[in-house]
Amino acid sequence: MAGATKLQEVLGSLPQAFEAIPDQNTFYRRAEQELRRCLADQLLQVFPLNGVRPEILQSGSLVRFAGMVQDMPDPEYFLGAYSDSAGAAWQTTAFSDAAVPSTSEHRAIWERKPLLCIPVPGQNTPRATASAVLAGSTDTKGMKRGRDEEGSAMECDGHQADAACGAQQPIGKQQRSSEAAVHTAPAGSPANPADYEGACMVYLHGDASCAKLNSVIHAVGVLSLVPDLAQVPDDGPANELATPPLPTSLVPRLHAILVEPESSGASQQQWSPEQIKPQREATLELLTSVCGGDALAAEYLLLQLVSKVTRHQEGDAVGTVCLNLTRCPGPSAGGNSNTSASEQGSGFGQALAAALRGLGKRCVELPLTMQGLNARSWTPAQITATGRLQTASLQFASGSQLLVDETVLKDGRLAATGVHNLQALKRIIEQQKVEYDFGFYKLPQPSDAPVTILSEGRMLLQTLLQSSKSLALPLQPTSSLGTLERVKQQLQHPAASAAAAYVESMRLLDCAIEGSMVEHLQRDMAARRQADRSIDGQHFHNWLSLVKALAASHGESSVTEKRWQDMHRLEHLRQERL
Amino acid sequence: MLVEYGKDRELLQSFLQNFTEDDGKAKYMEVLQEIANREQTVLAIDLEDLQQEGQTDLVEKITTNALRYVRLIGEAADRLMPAATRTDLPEDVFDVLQRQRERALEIRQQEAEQAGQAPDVDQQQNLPPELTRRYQVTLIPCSQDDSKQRHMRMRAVSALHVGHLVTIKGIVTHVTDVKPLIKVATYLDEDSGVEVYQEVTGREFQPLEPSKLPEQLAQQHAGRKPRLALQARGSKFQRFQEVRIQELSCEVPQGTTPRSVSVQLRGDLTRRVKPGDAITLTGVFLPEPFTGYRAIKAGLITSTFIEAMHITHDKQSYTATSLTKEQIAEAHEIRAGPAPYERLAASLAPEIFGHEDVKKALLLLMVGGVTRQLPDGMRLRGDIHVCLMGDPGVAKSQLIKHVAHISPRAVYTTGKGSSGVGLTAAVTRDPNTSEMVLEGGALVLADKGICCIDEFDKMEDSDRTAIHEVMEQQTVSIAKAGITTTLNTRTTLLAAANPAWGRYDRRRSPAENINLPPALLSRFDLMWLILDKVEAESDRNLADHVMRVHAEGVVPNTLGTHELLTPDQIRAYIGYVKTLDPYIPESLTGFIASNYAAKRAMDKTAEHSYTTARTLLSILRLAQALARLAFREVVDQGDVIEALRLMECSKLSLHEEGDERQTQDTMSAIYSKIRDALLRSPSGLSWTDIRQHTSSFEVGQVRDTLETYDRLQVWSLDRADPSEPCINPLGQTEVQGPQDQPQQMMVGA
Repeated sequence: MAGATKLQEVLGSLPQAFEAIPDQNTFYRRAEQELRRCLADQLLQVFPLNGVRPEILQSGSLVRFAGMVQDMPDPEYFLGAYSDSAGAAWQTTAFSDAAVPSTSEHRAIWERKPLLCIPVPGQNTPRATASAVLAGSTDTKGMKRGRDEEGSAMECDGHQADAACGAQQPIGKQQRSSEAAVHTAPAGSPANPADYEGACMVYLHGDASCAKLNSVIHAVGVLSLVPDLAQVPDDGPANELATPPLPTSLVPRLHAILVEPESSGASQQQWSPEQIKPQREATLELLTSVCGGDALAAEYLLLQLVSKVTRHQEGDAVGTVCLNLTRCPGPSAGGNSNTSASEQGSGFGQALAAALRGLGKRCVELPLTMQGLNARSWTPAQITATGRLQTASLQFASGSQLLVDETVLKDGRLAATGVHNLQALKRIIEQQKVEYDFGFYKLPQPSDAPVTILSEGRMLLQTLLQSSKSLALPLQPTSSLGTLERVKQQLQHPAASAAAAYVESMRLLDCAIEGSMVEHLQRDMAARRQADRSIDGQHFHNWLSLVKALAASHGESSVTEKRWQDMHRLEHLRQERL
Repeated sequence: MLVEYGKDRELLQSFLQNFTEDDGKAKYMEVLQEIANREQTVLAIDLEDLQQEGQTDLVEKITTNALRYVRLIGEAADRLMPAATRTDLPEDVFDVLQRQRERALEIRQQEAEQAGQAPDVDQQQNLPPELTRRYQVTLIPCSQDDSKQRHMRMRAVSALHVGHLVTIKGIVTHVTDVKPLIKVATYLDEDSGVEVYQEVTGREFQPLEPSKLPEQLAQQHAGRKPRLALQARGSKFQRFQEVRIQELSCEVPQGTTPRSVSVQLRGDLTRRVKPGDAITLTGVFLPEPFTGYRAIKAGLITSTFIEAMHITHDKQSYTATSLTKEQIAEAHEIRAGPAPYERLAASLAPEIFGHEDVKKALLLLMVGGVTRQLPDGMRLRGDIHVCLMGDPGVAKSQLIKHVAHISPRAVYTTGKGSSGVGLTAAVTRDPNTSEMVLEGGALVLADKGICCIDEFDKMEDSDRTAIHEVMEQQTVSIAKAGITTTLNTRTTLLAAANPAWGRYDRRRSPAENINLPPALLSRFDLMWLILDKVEAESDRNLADHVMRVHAEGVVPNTLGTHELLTPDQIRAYIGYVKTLDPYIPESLTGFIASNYAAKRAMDKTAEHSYTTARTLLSILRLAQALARLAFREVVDQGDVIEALRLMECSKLSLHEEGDERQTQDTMSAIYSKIRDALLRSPSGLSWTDIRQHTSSFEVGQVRDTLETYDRLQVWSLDRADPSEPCINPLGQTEVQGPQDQPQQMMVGA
């Protein structure tokens, strides 16, 4: 295992003994430097924890993990350094959950900041589904991977059997105190295993800058599995208010040595105009095929893919528009007739989501069913009893595409939750903000997700929104619409990954309106409003968002007259269809 | 790391003994006397007092090593403890036990003497001070002058603060029951009658093992196994409660979740808070001690808590948003600058163009008139209610959202209201405590502030009935689920309504147009119809604004001739002028009454009249607000004239046809020019003066304006030369009052 030797090297290069209490910030900064030096650019060779059941790995091995920060629990305090007697050298417990020898007389308390990271919602990552883990069906895959890591395979079996037993038989002997609490808990209760599927608790040490909620981070660090951590001590009254830590069989602990935000790892590839054109066409081609040959819809979808929120103004968000594809076929016409349609989007919705996911990295699909709307709140809320943040549909990483599928909506009565959920959606469309409920108050958290809504006729959300807020575009397919299978096939093609790289780069492009264009566009907009009184400020906002996205899709960092005309041509075509 | 505490011990003792307050009383000795007399159970040391004594070093030491010093203070206090001056103190269980202990000690000493051994004095010393102490030592943090310095953010508390005294703010989320916590465990050896004491510092303790007995006792038993029994009666217990507090929403940085800490309350500090309370807490940040089973697991996670020393409740009052000297100076500067009234008005919602008069009205709404409590208990509201109407798509919502943004205490809601509480109040079950609670709606929450209600016309019927009471009496009465109460809603109402038939129809009355009862509408001081004007200028401005938001992300900060003020500046200015209470001088009453009477008289001919006694009060309120804006304690005639003009404009906006409105606009423009000139030279204006100020307008328009406002009693004209009228000096108008003025109207006022 390459990771093991690297880890040895890093830890070995760190000072082992200190004359006085070591400063934790200096210590951890040093560790980060050492790790960077050892790994150089081989970061990706570190064994990934994503999609792997932690039991197959050995506690203490070097792993990497990428995920979205879902919750930021209170900091953990631990005995970071100790010395046996006055004057003796100090030692650290760095990057482990090892116990301090009880003989030690002097102990220093250090602090680490936990980040509960979950697989990025709406992103294609190898992850085992909840049902698969519970049924133990991923075992074969897991074993195979485990055996690949020669050294750890032997050790792993014990762990694995342990965990599997815990998963299948809630009331095992050993798991009574820790695991049982988790697995016998009813659905929706604090530690519902499904909520923590693929999650990892990443610990930031020292003064490492704290990542933001909902940001995607990459962490490299030491895996720690401590079976008896979550065990409630049998003697003495437990602190009523303290929440026991999550069992490590459910959420492994990762003592991060190195944490990086996602964007820093993004490709800094320079694109020449000659490279961009074919990529843009290839991307459009794929989208056109999904939309059944509707090139205009594909054009607008591409703009959605490259647009981003540039600013949260006082009330509204600037930079994204809400696209409403109307005349989309309902679930019956979609052809995807398997299993519970109520929980899934229409066939077209699924196909489009897959395409957006394939091209734009992540796409959160939100089938708008009566059942789904009324079932539970879509906005995250803190569970009063445990203080943990309960994730919900509308918690997603920034840079996601939000695809709301209204075609699956049937008649019914909206309950209070349903109304709340629709209003939360409205808030995202208008302000790009999601309100998180923290018990005694709510905190709005910014989001960055262009919204695309699929509806058969006039969209339901329209009634909630200002009339010109969303851009309605009736779909006019000339051939059959894309299906999930076909899109998956198309995405397998190497051209698709090149297109995805193009989309990612263009999305990062900051497109500005400069110099004389400002004046010119102002005059033009005012003139258009003079000619047509139905045009209001919202139209201006939409136009500017669209033109910036359009320029970005061409790889241009500033808006030109040509793009402005192109945008109006698109808008004109769209208006004609209404 | 042995630190010598001897010196500090002496310092503390002399401090307790000698500290005197300004009135010459020995503060702490008095407290100790009260403790001895069992009238007091807390010895609260105010670190401010120590600071005053010049013991800055000691204060520093106490704040960084709090528990140690609390112990030292306790020891010092024990030594200084005076004898009780009261003799009627009943004997309680502790006294009885204490006597028995003393007697047992005597007997044992006698026995020892008889046996020829040295008297055993250690037993007495073994008695932990905690056991006999009848008080609890707490610390009150220094209250520095700068109130912001007093507390740190909850997330700033880190491992570096272990053992420190920290002061944080938070909201209480969980509270446990109060339980007894053992402080000193007392064991009795059944064979010898000797008591053994064990001090307990944490939440858990391990009973003494015979092998770890104090030496003397072990010697006495000499190999025999002592039989120790825990004495519940002889042990000391303390009230103990755990609380969890969460970071205040205003202290949570963007993109993070709120922190929380657990707090231990002991003794007298228990039962002081309940869930939902916002508190400022001072306490010692501590790790949970490793005892018993936990000691084995040391190295894993340590839970931390704050041992509370001092708690204050944060009353969430918005009234006293204290202004700094700089802010007041700045307000004076703005006042002295050019056209403060226009400048302030233009600074409201700068992204919305034009609508100067509407913005002036909104400015006056934020300033408000003076609320008077009459001796007979009647209350005359000072709040200026404004209702904006207009076709959909005009900037109504943005305007009122901006007001909500600027005002320090404002609630923005829609007529439908998003929660079940609605606008007034509701009785609900609190999800956190599952108790029935009275939950205030938007109007109650905006008490002493501004309640901005969008889509006022879509209000629910229940709210609609309640809002009558809210607007005039400024209370809301509740009789639901066994709770009957009246809540204050001293709220300024800013409403926006859409016309009933999509577009505003000027041929109909406002009441018909927005489908609200006239009784409700008459309660608004000003009603304004905002129309979407087809003007190239405004379109350009709109385009310019949107463009700037996209291109640079800034709202233009200059507009026209005035440099715009920031929301902070406006807030400070309004906050300052709100402290003024202008009154209406005797000399103006005639002027106001005659104007009112004239308005009433005009109503007879006008189509949609709504001049009532309320109108008169509205004029007064607006005039007071204007006087406030000008930093005046007395309302002057100019204020009344401007108030009348605004009322007139608001009325015109509702009734005039479009083309007439155009002329009205010119007229207003001419009027404002003349008014400014008139205010500068109250001795009157000649025709040449007037023309000088209105050179850009046509002669005919100027003449019309003069005549119109003469009819409105705003000024009086000297028509010596009918083609070139002059304006008489101000102040003569009321003397001149129209001859046909009906007297009974004045009575009606």
